[in-house]
Amino acid sequence: MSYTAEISRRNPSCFLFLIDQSGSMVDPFGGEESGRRKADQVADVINRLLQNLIIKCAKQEGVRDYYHIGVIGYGTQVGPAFAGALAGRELVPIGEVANNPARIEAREKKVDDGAGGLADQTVRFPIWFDPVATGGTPMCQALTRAQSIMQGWTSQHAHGFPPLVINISDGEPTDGDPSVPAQSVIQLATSDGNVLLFNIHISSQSGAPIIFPDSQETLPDDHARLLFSMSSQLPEFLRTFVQQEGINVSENTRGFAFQADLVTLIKFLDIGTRPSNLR
Amino acid sequence: MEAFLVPLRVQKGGNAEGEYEDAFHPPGNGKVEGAALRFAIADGASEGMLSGAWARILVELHCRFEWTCSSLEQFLERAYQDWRSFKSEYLRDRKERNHPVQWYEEPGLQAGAFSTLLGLTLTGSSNEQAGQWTAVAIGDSCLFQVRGSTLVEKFPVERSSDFNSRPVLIASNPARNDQAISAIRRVSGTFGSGDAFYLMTDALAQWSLKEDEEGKNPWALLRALDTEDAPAFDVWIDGLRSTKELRNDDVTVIRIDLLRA
Repeated sequence: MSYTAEISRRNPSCFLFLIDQSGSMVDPFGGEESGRRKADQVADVINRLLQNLIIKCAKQEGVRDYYHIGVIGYGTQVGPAFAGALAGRELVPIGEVANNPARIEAREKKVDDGAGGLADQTVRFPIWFDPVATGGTPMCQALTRAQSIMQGWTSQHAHGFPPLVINISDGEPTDGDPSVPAQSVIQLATSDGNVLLFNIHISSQSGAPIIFPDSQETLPDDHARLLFSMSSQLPEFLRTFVQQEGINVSENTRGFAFQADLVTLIKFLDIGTRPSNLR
Repeated sequence: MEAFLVPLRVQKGGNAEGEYEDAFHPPGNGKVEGAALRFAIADGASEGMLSGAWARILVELHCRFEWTCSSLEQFLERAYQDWRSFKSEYLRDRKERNHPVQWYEEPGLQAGAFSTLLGLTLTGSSNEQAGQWTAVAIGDSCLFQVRGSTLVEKFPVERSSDFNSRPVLIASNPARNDQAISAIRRVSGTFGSGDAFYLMTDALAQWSLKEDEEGKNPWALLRALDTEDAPAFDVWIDGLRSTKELRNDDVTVIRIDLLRA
């Protein structure tokens, strides 16, 4: 059966993020009235995904290296996008990512006060990436780079839980049709299943977020339809989890989100007993 | 009433011994006697902070708590008190070691720890090897009562296919315990001379139930553990893990033999 390999420090899995840093990302996100740029949204999505993934792997006194993490930026250049101590590295154990954010901001958050109400609390929010928007959108090059990194990883971890590649973009490539390199990414596999490619579409269109659709019909434009068609179909274990979240699924459901962050995905990752009363 | 107690444990493969997050009580092995004997086992959730410490608090409290005239809510109130003392001492120690809490630990410390609990009480007269037992369970740690090579009681999980990685557990944070309070299970029965009870955390409990369902009598093997004829517990568990018969997790079993009169 696929996608059942143990995820542990001796059998880690892998996340590779591709982030669109092209000039078109200065355009407004979700309609003119939002006051935000698409680049702001991309930075927010990647920072939140990393933050939640790290918290998932945190135990008292440290973060367990259940995952290797890579972030490839594409815009003026295509390459590793971590800054500071991690600059230039393609894949980094998640514990190192946790301990090397660019900075940590203090933010106010509403939390459960333990008595049925909400209380304000200051929480520390790590930032790895600031918004960037320059150059073209070499998505084909980014996917080709991803294919090369994933080929290396899958050959070194032949029986590991398959890696997940998450591309965060406005879906407007400037270097050709990304479907071909996307296909070469999802053809890679370990003995436990194929590499998964998910796409998060950050758009200037207004409209309600869409997460894990099973057809192109509800998607707003050709950019969304392109990214949807490049995305992996959800394997059965993910369809089950997505369904438990109240989302209708079919065999055609794909790993695609429009104007959403996919943070919910992190809840699905199985690294041990998760209390059902911990949401 | 006399019983012989054998606790056996091994941490998840690939983890250090200090990362073991199951707990059991009493801690020693050998003969125990009395008109009422208490035993408990717990499995701290791998997702969650300080789960092993919370599991230890629960098993120790179960074995000293006055259950006969108290409710689960009163038990939990005492457990929360013990948890608050433990946590403030832990945070003080972190400060003194100049090892402050990191940003990624904060949400977990806020959410609290989670654990199963399975508690067993045996009551009988001092000169007889028969009597009554009662058990309480939250989560998927299991009790098996075995007579000869026959499984006569299984609690609270009935079938090996019923285990999953999302059980309802006891939280150290009172705000997260509504589900646990309504999920508590209790059962009682009688025992006789020569009976054996096994308290197990989920990985080995699932294996034992599956073997029993397939008519393979795992009880003979489990009864022999810790004797000269049996392989060392950790070697045996390693073997089961390598053939994928056993899920890789912390493993704990307490065997309680009611000595023959």
